[in-house]
Amino acid sequence: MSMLANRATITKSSLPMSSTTRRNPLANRKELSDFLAAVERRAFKQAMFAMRDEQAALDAVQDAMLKLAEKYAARPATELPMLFQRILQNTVRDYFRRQKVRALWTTPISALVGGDESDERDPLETLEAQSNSNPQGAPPEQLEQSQTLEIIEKALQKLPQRQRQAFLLRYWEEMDVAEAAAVMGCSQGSVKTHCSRAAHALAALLKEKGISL
Amino acid sequence: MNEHELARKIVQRLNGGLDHIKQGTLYRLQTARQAALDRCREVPQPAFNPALAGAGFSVSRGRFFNARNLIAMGLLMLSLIGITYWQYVVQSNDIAEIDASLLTGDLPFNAYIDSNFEAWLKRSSQ
Repeated sequence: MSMLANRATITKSSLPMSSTTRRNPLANRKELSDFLAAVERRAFKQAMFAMRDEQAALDAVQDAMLKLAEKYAARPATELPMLFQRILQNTVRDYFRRQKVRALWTTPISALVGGDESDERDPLETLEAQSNSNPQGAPPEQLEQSQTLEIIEKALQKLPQRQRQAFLLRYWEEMDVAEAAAVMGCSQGSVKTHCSRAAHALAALLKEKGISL
Repeated sequence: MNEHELARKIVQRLNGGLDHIKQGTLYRLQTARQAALDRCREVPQPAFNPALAGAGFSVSRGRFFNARNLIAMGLLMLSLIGITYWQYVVQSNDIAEIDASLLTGDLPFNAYIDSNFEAWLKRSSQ
């Protein structure tokens, strides 16, 4: 795993720092550990919604954790959520940039070289069991919940990146509009617009699938 | 259902889903967290260094003298040595060759200083 460009540099001016946060003591190792433990699953899911690749999502979360611990561990504990989210978003963005550059090189080369039929993998070898398959003895409610969750996650994946980002920061990470705007690097009005559009799109997608929450 | 109500219900479902992440994935997240915390512990404590306080950069061994910076510095030094060699050795050889041709040639030295000689040379070449 190697994430090349470190674009997670955060200027102090890009994040709002109130007088309260200035007075807060610096985060110690325990606070950092607790914070990472609390946020890691949501961070993984967020990365999964964006990248749709488990290994890449795990790499992104790991890189974000390493960068936070290495560069910003000395910042006050109250700043950690915003810093971590900003680093994670930048890491995901870097991943897509590298994908684009790699595609520029690999597509013409693979077209020239051509594919070898014998090298093709058997899809059955990599086929995983469906997560929503009903295990023996699982109650129908549990199955219904897992199916609903899968539909919600797919609906979130379908959202435009900025809308998904705003929605998750605002409601899942429980950030206020100003904090979400600072993490996304846009105005507070844009965050509100993205959130509203995301909510409408999600409502429409869920209605289309016949899901009522 | 308004935006906040819908978001609350979606988040409730998403939080429920966090408990069903695969064990392998959870283990990797835990390993990543531990690696990050170890990295945090490795970072040296900032030493009191009044001479460089507020200078805008850190010269601590971990940050500045890493492999990438050392390679870049090595390349810079090599290019500086190369430029110096070219300036003092190659160029002085060229001058020595001109001097040698001046001294060993049939033309007297004054012919090169005379401005009319160059004009005569051009005329004669035409």
